[in-house]
Amino acid sequence: MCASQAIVAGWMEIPTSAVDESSRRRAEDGAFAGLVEQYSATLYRVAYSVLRNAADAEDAVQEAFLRVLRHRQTLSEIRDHRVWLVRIVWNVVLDRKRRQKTRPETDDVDELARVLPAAGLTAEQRAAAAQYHAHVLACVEQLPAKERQVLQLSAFEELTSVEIAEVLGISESSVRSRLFRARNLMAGLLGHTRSLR
Amino acid sequence: MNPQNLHSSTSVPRSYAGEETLRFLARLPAPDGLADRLHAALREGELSAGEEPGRFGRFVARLNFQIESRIGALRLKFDPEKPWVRPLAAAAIVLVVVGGGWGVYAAGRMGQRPAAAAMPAHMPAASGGFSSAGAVRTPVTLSSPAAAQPESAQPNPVKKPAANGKPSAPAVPAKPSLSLVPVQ
Repeated sequence: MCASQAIVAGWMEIPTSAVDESSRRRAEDGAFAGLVEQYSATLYRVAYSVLRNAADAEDAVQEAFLRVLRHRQTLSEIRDHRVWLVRIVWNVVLDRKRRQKTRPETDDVDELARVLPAAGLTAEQRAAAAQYHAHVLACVEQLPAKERQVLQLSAFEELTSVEIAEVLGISESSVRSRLFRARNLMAGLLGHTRSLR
Repeated sequence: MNPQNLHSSTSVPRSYAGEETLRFLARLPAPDGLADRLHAALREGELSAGEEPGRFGRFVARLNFQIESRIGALRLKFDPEKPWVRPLAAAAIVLVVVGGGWGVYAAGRMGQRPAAAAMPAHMPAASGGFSSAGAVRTPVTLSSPAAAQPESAQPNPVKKPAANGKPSAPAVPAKPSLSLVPVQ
């Protein structure tokens, strides 16, 4: 090999030892599998709360993990995996909701009644509860996007206001003020519809 | 519980009646076997991503082939994962688009017509046609006496008003002297 070839080859490729590469890859795979085991249920619930469709929520979680898989070499640099993953799946979910304007499953009252806990409820009570939940969700959809997002994330008891702020990329005080506005708006919407009835 | 949790905080306004619906959705259990399905799908996705390159990957592979076939001695390879390949490709695309646009613009400028079309100079037609062939049109008249031009075409001097204030008679223009000239 002449000198110019050696220079070009050295510039194009970073020499790494095969043993180090395979062990590093195995460690990354193991860490990634652990993330899937630990957080897939949480991410699914986050996705479902927005998409309200089981298949779409599962697809969104899968897409989020695929994104993580492409950047798995940066996993060691992440401080809080849970918030980081929720943020990824949240962005995936919002992208999907923007792109596909499919009707959420729970707009169908029968479908909502199917996923409701049915212990101790008669069929009539279940139907009434499903109608009420569908009405509340319709009111949530009427909220401005910023307030709606904070309200939806605040429903997750495992997420603090600091973590919600991290997921949305805003300050904690903004989270609180948006939540305040969202609750007031919801109270107004629900009270208005109640007075109409 | 974390003191910063929204649900235990006192600074947040009390929750509305319908918030329980969102909490109910947030507490729904994940379907059974979700993690296993995800593992399988991700393994599949990883394999397919490794086997089938995307459009850019195929373009780079073709580019590699072209380069290898031409300057194979250098063993110069474009790796799509290298950070400088994508900006280079983007710059090349921009160059082609801008160059093409400039070419179209320049071609339009070269072939541009003047704003007003110049009328061709009047030329007598070679085969007669509708031109008058330089002939002076003269009216057909009988050979009769014609009025000759006056000898002096000087205007009549305007008379000054009389000093006694009486209006003078209006000036009558002098009749030109006529002479009979036969018209040829």
